Formats: sequence, structure tokens, C-alpha cells
Amino acid sequence: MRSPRVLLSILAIWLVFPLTALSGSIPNIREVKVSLNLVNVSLEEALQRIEEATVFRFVYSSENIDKDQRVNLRVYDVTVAQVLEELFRGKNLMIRQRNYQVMIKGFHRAGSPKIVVEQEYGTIMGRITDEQTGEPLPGATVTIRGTSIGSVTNLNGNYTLVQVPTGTQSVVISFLGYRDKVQEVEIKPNSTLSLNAALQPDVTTMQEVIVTGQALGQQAAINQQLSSNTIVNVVSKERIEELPDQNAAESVGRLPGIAIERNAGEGQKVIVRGLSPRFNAITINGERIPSTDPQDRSVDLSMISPEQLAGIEVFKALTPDKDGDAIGGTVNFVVKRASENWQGNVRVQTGYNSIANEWGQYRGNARLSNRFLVNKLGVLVTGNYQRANRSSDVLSADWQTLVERPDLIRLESSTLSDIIEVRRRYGGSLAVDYDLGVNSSLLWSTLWGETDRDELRRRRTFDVRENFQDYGLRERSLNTRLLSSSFSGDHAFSNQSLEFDWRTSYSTSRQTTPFSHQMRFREVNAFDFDEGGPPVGAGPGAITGFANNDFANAFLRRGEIDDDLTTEDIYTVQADLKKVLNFGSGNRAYVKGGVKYRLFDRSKDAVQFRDQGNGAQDGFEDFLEDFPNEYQLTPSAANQDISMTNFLGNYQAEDFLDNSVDFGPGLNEFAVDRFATLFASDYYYPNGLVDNADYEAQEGIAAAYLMSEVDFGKLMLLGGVRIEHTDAEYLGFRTAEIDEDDLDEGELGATFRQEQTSEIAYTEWLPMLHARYKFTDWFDVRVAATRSLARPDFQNLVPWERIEPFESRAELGNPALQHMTAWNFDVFFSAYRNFGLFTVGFFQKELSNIDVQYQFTETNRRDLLFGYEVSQPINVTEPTTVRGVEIDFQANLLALPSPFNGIVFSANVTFIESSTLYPFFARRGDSGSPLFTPRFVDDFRPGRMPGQPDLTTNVSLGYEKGGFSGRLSMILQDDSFDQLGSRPQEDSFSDLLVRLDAVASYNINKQFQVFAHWNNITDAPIESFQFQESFLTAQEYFGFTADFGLRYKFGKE
Amino acid sequence: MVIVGFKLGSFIILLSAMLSVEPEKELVFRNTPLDQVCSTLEQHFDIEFSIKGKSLRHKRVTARYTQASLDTILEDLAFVLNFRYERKKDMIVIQQ
Repeated sequence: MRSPRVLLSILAIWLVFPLTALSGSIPNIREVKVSLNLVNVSLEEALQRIEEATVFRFVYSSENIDKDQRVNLRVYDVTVAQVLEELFRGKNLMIRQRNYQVMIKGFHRAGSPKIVVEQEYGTIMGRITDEQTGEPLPGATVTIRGTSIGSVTNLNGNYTLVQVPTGTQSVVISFLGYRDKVQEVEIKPNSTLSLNAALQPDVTTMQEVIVTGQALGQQAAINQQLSSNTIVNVVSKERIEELPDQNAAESVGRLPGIAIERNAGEGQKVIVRGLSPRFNAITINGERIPSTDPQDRSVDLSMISPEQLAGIEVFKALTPDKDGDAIGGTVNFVVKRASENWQGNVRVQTGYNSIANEWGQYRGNARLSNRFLVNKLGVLVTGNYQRANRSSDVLSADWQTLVERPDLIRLESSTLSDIIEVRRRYGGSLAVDYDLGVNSSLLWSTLWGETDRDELRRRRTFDVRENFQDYGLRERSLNTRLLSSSFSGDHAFSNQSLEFDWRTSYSTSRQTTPFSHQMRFREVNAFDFDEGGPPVGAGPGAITGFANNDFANAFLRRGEIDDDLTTEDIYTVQADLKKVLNFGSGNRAYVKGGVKYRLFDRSKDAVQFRDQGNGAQDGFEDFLEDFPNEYQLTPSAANQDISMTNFLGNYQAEDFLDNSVDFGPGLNEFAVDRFATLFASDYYYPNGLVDNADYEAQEGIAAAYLMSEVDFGKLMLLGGVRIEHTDAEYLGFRTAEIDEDDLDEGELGATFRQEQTSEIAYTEWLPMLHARYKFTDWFDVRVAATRSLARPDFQNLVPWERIEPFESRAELGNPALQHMTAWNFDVFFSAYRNFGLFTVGFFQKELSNIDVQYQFTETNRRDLLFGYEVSQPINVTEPTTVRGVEIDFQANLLALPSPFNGIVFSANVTFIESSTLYPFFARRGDSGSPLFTPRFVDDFRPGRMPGQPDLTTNVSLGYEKGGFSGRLSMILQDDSFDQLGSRPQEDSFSDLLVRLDAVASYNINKQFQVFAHWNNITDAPIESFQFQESFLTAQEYFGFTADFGLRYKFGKE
Repeated sequence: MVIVGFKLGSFIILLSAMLSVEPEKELVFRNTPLDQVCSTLEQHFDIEFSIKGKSLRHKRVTARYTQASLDTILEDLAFVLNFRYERKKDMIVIQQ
């Protein structure tokens, strides 16, 4: 950041002098100015003169005002309030204005005389809905005419206007695409007025138009986006509910600036503006969700059931009241509020998966809600179940580059993976809210989500360089559980100008792989190079046809059992206080402050059992005695091992990679399972080297913030600062293999293991400044300069060391790793006309201290690891820049004549470029003279941020008419950079992806709807490559899926 | 028949009495004691007042209203003269 000081000083001025010289239009004694020349007149007459010159009328009693007192006053163009202060100088007075009346009274108090000018206020609250459908309208603005007092409805359609001056006021309710509504109300001091309103679509045609489904979804999103005072994109409730994507990640992924990280074709994580998932915060009602990933800090969004959501918001510019660790953005899921009568929704569906050629994609969701005890107690409960076949066929390859011939890239090996995977998701939620009366409520919200992934992976690796073929089978069940519970309260106090919110929450996530087991067999001399072998230049797919496939001589090379457990608990307490201020009558400001404490408690426990790496020789003889005749040996008498023939079944992969290669026979999972179950506990040994990845981490984050927002009408300014103090403790292990020569006879392979701890503490100031300027009522610009941070992944921070002396290799954590900070700059233009919404946003992020994995050879002779190949995360000291442009167009065609008014169109395109420096270390020849000391290059290479596509495009075309609604959407993600090598020839990339999805529904009546999805229509593979697209490193096919179902709903929301 | 006619007659009288009240009429109190203010309001809004406390009754007030509800006027006076008021059916009770 070039000018943080300039920004900081602007902020300081901002916070110290938030509000001066505000102007408004309703008469107020602090604004209306008069000129008077009073010479020896009575006080009574003086007041009459002011009444004549202005619209004000005074109310006072001679009890405490000496009406006959003579006064002299000559003033020119000063406010009425100042005149009154001058007239009554030296007295204790209280002045209160209501409507045109100005009340003056004296009061007794000790100390120096004081004149208090006060105004009385009331509160308005209510709900804004669509007149025909009764659906809430989120993002509708409610303002007091002639002032800048205003509020925006939340995702449940509710709003609150505080500090409304008493008297008769005109309330203007507007929702773009709908007709404005103006309502006259009488505001009483210190009381709350309930004002609900139903709006009608604003359509020029004569026919009655009911805005539903897609059109309403789009309109609601547009309204929420425009009425926000920051930069936000929204997925509305209608979008989630009426024509749903397969999961929440897919829905978020259709917003501008967002790319999706997929797993077996299913969207799981979001990349916001080219920044990988770990840079983004995922929250439910503002509460952080723990990471569901064993490695990094990312969250799998497919864990969240859409049934309970009132909408999804993606905040792209941070405000001080949100967690500071969101450099990319904050994705917030807003939970529905219980309806005021019995309301329910049941959805069941079944479908087909083309790659598994299987029917049996089941899914069921249900939701029920109501309010009890005179609408005070609301209860909303949801449940969901899904079974999905997410099988895939994968071809992957390794390419070799030579130092001497950097231009030559040769195929080293290729691998075929046949993955059969069934995912089951279970989940539910319970939200209970209680209305404590005027302006006060409690909410208890609990969410549970669980995913079981049962995966059976058969794999064959063809290595042409070392001439072997490996056969493997792995059976793994991955269970992820997420539980999040929060209890919160919102309260408004005294004369309603003070709001107090508090929250406590507990969230936990757990990921386990119980009894994940695999066996690997090896066939040596798999290719007959004497007889030619595979032709030179044969591709990764082609070489697989040239192997000998000598199954009888393929021997058991390794067996393994893995039991990993990663848990993360987050405890949060927070409190926010907001004070609404009035400076003049028209303009509005608030000051908000708060504190928050978050404690992350995370641990990883990995256990692996395996043989000694000596094939079946490990404990082999005992083994055969216990189970005679069960296992045949390889024919070769010299090196008798358990043969793969014992484990061959008649499994045949069908249509593998669209029949472009033959997968051949696969291993039998029951035989492998039996081996692992019966023998593993006796013949496999705990692998100490795995334990070293175990860790325990406690991170406490204490945060406080102060912010202020002022709305001048055309101009809105929001500024503040957040301070986050992080205090963390990590525990890891240093482990090393011990030479087997040092072991006693019969003693098993052992490891040296030592506990190590580290502590870090740091404080970050995060200043933020936002502004919005409305050029006209349809065109505005938003700018923001914010500072945010990101913490490194736990595994990278933990003081762990895995040392393998036999291989001269070491993997290390880095407790000295710094957190990342970023300055983010945004300029965002929005134009809304009857054609729809058009936005263009520019952003630039300047990141410091990003961390990357660094591979090097230790050249320091004094270091214990001298000569080792070391892998360790380090900080890049050079700044990293990410910049881009987002263009979004959402067309509103309701004004067109039928049938064209049924078209709903949206398109967005995002261009991003990033530049960072990656460290690399490579051997570049040697000294060239005797001793031939290797020469190393330790340098940086520029590159893009990992996972950042240069171009992302979403196009969506929808149509709805009568009860029919359909949508065709396309996602295009340009290639993205994955990993940097020491030369361009070693760089790896993800290839361009174009994906098509379709969804359609038909409403049979108000209760029943039938719907269908067709996802990944073109069966587009996910591909990656090295250097150039011709050097394919992975190609993953997962087929298309089609499903259809029925929805039943009852009750109005 | 007579009773019905009587009721109808009194209704018409009441109605014309209500309509005869000038809606835009300005209420002006210039250094007026509270009991007089209340009797003006009694006529204007057709409601009875009861003031408890002699000193309160004689407190003088200056005010002008063109269009205002009874509640607004009462709230203003209550602020300036430091009294509390309570609505009991057709009666407003004012006390210190």
C-alpha cells in the first residue's frame, strides 16, 4: 500500500469530526435561519416576532419564563435555535421541537446555566411484501420523505426505522420494479408504530402481472444489491427455492467474480475474485462456520442445506463490524424466520447418473414452520437427505523435464483411476426465535450437516521410465460432520436511538476416515522395450495398451490402513452497540462499536498402519502358517511374494473414459477388505512418520471495532477501524526414521518422536472507508478502501518436522510463518433503468506476506539437514497484486409484451489478473571441474495466484409463463494456474471449462410442482496440463446427471 | 315513534353541531390559565377535563395550534407544565 497514512488520516478526521453542517428540508429550529432587530422589546414580543418570521409556534408557560423581561438582540442569518439560546442566555432551559411547535420550559439544576435543545423520536417497524403473492420483498427501501432517514428490509422483508422525529411523517416505501407507496403516519414520542405494506409490480402493460419465481428472484437480488451501502452480490430466496441449483456453492458460483472449486463435478468451494477458498470467510447469520477441510481453512458449501435459507449474500468489501480475515470476500447464509402460520415444504427427487449408468440419485428435503404464543415464539425446522453417485473416470500423467534439455518434455508415467463414489448427505436445522416485545428478540439457531463419502478407487499406473506397472485398490469412507449452534439477542433501548446486539455461538466440525485401506501390487518389467515397447511419443492413454499385464507375477508391494481424525471447535462471544445520531433533522448518522472473541481449537490425529515396505516379506511366514492355502505365491522361486491373482475379481470398468482406453480387470474389493480386516492388525505396523502430521492448535482472536456511517442523501460515507489481536499456541511433532541397523533382532521399524510447541501473537489494525454517491436515483458509484488479513493454514504453522534420513528428505512446518495482510480497493458503478441492472466493478488487492510451499536443497553445511531435499512453507516478501473487472447485466423484461415478458436473462463476465513471485530452487549443472560441486539456483519466478482463472463468464437464460419455469445456464472458466515449477516447462494448469446446466419446473397448482434438472449436459471433463495443453496431466470425466421430482408446499410465509 | 324521532332529532343536532365546528380554526392561548385552556379544548374536541391541584389550574401558558390532534396538544402542555394526564372514557384527568 502506497498511501496507508493518507487513508489513516482521512479516517481519523472522519471519526473525530463525523458530522457537521448537515442540511435537510423539513423545518428545524437548528436549520431555519432568521434575521432580527429587537430593541427593548418584551420576551413575549420577541417570540412573536420569530413566529412571524418563521413557521414555528412557541409553547411556554409564564411559570418559568419571564415573558415581560426586556431584551435587545440584533442578529443576521442565524438559526432559530441560536436566537433562542441568545434570548435565554444564563437560564436553565429545555427546548423541544415537535412538528411546528417549539416548547420551552425551565428546569432546576445545579451548576452553570444550560440550554438543552432536544427533539422527540419514535420508531417505525414492519414488513414489506408483494401484494399478490404475499412473498417478502428483501432490499426494499423505507424512507421518511424529505429526510435521509431510511432503512432497508432484510431477507425476511422486515425493517426498522429508528429516531424518526415525532409528528406527521410521510413514509415512502420503494422496491425497484414495483410501484412506490407513500403512507402518512403520526409518530408518537418513544413509541413504536407498526407499518406493514404490500407493493404492486410496476408494469406498463394493461394486463395484471404477477411477479414470481425467477423474475422476483432477480428483482429481489437487484434491490438488495442496490440498497446495500457496501459492495454485495445476492442470491435471493426465490432463486434458491423456486428453481434451485444442485447446492449452495453452485448458486453462489453464478455471481460475478466467483469461480467454483469442484469435486467429482459437484461444486464445493468458492474462489472469490481469484482468491482461493482459504481467503474467504463463510458465515451463517454472521457466525463463522468451522473449516471442513483437514488441510486448510476452507469450508465445503455443499454441507449447507438450502431449505432453511432466506438468501445468500457475498460481501466483496469488508466493513469493520465483520471478521477481518476475509481478503476475497464473506459469504453469508441468512437463515429464514418462522412464518406466522403453518407453512411447509416437501421436496423429493430421483435421478440418473450417466457415468455409473445408475438410477438411484435420491434426495428429500422438508421444512415446517409456525409461530406460537400470539406470534411471539417462532419455530422453523428442516431436514434433508441425499444420496448421489459421484463416480468418475480419471486419466492422469507425469511428465519429465531434463535440466540439460529444458525444451524436451517426456512422458514418465500415466495412471488410470476408476472411482466409484457414493455420497450421502444428512442434515437438519432448528431455528427458534422469541419476540420479547417492542424492538427486542432472541434467536437460537442450530444447524447439523453430515456427509458420508464411500469411495472405491481402482488404479493402474504405467511407468515407462522405470518400467513397471502398479495395481491398486483403495476403499475409503470419509465422514464430515458439521454442527453449529448460536444464541443471540437484538435489543433497542430507551428512546430507540440505541441498539444492542449480542451473540454466542459454538460450532464444531469433524472429519474422519475410519478404516480406510488399500493394497498395491507391482509388476516389474511391465513393458518389453527389447521388442520395441510403446512407440516414442505415445500419449498417456496410448501407452497403457502396451503393458504385458503379467498378473501372476505382480506381487503385493504395500498394504495400508489409515484412520485420520481432524476436529475443529469454534467458540464465539460478541456484542455490538449502535447509536443513531441526529444532526439536523434530515440527515442521519450512526456510530457503532463492538467487541468479539473467537477461539479456534483444532486438532488432527492421523494413524496409519502399513507393512514394512518390504512387500509380503513382512511377517510373511507366520502369516502363511495361520492361513494355509489361502494365498498363492508369485511363480518366481527366488522372490516369493503374495501374488495379485488372489485378489483379482471379475470387475470390469464399463465405458472407461468413453472407451478410449481399456481399464482391464480390476481388483476385488471383498478380497482386499478381507485381507485388511483379518491380517492387517497382526502384520501391519503403526507408521510413526504419519503421526508427525498430528497437531493441536488453539487460536484466540480478540477483536474490537468502531465505525460510523453518515448519509447526506446523495452521499453516504462509512468509515471505521477494526483491531484484531491473535494469540495462538501450536503443538506438533518432530519425527525421524531410525536406521533399522540400530534395532535389535525382531524389533520393528521405529521412529524418533518429540513434541514441540510454538506460540505466536500479533495485532493488526484494519482501517476501512466506504463511500457511495448517487449521481441520480438510477446511477450510483461505490468506492471502498479496506484492509483485511488471512491466517496461514494450521498445518503450515505447526512446528512439525518429518525427517526421512534414508531418502534425505524432510518436510517441515513453519512456526515463524507470518499472517497475510491486504489492502483492497474497489470502485463499483451500478445503473438501474427499466431495462434492468448493469454494474461494472473494478478492484485491486495488494497482498503482503502470502505463503507458498518452498522446495529446496539445504546447502548450509552446518545445518542438521545439510544435503536434504526440504519442503517448507515460507512467506513471499514481495507484494502480490490481484486486480480485475467485473461486469454484470441482469435484464428485466417484464415491460415487454407477452410472451417476451417471460424472459429472464442475466450474464456476467470477470477478468482477473494477478502477479506474485514464487521462490524456486533448482540444480543447474555443476562446477564443471573436479569435485563437480552442484550449482544451485535460489530465485523467484513471477506467476499467477493459484486457482485464479483470467476469465470467468456466466450466462443464464430463463423463461417463465403460466406455471412453467425453465433456465439454461452456462459457466465458462478459463484455464487457471495450479503450481509453479522451476521452469515454464514444469508449470501446471487447470484447463478451460465450459459447463451447461438446465432446470425446469411446472406448477400444477398452488401446492404441487414438478421439476427436473439436467446437469453437466455436455459431460465436460475437468482437465489439467503441464506447460502446454498437449501435455495433459489429468482428465476427469464424471458424466451428466438428470433428475426429476415433486414439491409440495402449503401455507403462506 | 316519538322515541325514534327524538333520537333522530338529537342525532341531527349533534351532527350539525359537530359540522359547525370550524375544522381549520386556530387555537390561540396567550398567557392563558390551564383551566381556561381546558375548557376551550373541551369545546373543541368534545371531551371533559378534570384538573387535580389548584396550583396547576392557575399555571399560565402561551401556545398556538392550527391543525393538531388533542394528543399532540396535551403532550406539548404536559411537557411545558410538567403534568401527567390520563384518559378515562370521555374524561381526561390532569394531575401534577
